[in-house]
Amino acid sequence: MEGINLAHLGSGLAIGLGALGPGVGVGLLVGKALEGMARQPEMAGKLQVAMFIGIAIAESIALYSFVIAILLFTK
Amino acid sequence: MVEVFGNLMFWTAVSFLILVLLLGRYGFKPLAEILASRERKIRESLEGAENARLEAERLLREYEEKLAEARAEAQKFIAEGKSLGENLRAEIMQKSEEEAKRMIAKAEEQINRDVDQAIKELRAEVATLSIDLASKVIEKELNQNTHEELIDKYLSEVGRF
Amino acid sequence: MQQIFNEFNLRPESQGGHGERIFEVINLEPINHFIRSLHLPIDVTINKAVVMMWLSAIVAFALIYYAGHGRGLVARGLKNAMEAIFQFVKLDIVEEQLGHAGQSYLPFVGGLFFFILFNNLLGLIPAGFSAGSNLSVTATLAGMVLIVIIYTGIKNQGPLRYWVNLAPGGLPKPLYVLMYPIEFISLLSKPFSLAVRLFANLLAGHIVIFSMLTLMFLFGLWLAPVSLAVATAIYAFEIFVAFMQAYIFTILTSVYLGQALHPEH
Repeated sequence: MEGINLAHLGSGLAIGLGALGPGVGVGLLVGKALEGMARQPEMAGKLQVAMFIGIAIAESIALYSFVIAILLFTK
Repeated sequence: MVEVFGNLMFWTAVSFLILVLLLGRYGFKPLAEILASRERKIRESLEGAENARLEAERLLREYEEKLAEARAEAQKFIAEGKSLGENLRAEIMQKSEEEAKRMIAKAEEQINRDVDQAIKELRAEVATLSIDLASKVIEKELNQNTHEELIDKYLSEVGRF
Repeated sequence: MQQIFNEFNLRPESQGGHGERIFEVINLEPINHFIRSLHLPIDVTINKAVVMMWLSAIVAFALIYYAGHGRGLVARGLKNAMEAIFQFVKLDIVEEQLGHAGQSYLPFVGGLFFFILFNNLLGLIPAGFSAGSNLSVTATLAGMVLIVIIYTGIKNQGPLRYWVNLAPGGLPKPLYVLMYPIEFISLLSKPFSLAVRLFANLLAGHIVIFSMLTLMFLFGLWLAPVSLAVATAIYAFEIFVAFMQAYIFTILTSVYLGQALHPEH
């Protein structure tokens, strides 16, 4: 097949593997946060804010790999 | 996408800074003031409602107190009237009792007096009668003055009956 | 696929030499021609990202101005929505993280929030373009955030103490040789992650929508219902993301500002 480019392969691998960890992380984070909210509903607001910040930080790791993927793809 | 664009950076900085300046000067202040004034107004009206409720409660308590007072007063009046009537009754009864006693005493006195009078009269009568009788019997004029002793003796004998 | 990326490419040659167009109608090339003829030291040519940025700034200011200059205390409709968002920014982002001393940061943080929010939302209207899906824009915003963070830290803790306080105290002395570079890199990585997060979120959302629609043409029109449904669902999710990213950008800015305001001893 013509046009197969290792950079494309790398791009796909980058986003796929890069999304793996943050996906698990976000899942754990939200699960724990929900557990905490269920246990202490009066703390739900604070937990939610902390949860979103945590999600953002975990998610940004996936987004770094997304940027790498784009860089590789458009190469 | 990932490369650097000088014009984009320049325009981002310019438009963002202008937006921040405008918002800081004209945008946020009136909005915050409106929100603050609304909050104040809501708090004030809540406080007003609370005050009105407290006032109403106070008035209710006052009225209840007044009502209880009036009731107690009425009770007092009734009791007073009752005791007054009782006193009056007792007084009247006492008075009438006294009157009766007095009348009885008076009657007794009168009776005593009448009895005394009658005895006296009787005595006088007896004296004259006995003198008459004696004079008739002994046919001798007894001098009342000289035979007082005798008469008394006789009379005491009569009084024994 | 390359066409999808070209859609987000702002290089002049990617437009096929026809010049920049906004909403596929207005051609910006004459204006740019005039700007280039001025020979300014920096490049100030405009393209659709710049125009969308202006638009979002204007819309944000207009809506807030409208919300703040009404008669009566009872708001409804759009005004009410703006008030709710403003209240959210003021109470849950600024005052929650910065305390009462953070009042003076309200214009900066609130401006960031509304600028990013309307940038994201304007990118979602058809034929619109999200300026945030370009790294230069988000990097500029994040760079300004970094400047404000360092300025706040220096102003509140003194020029020397701020840099000393970067690393937590109470560690063995040799560890500081390691700690200071790490803390310095972490300080720089804050705005970097802010910029990349915003940019990548917006770009990813748009690319996914475009890809879903492209599937329709790749595999034939029988796939149209599926790809349209998925694209619509992702579009709805993108509206949520638009708010979410504005929120995350501003709350992280507030958190960093709060760290600079009240350092841990």
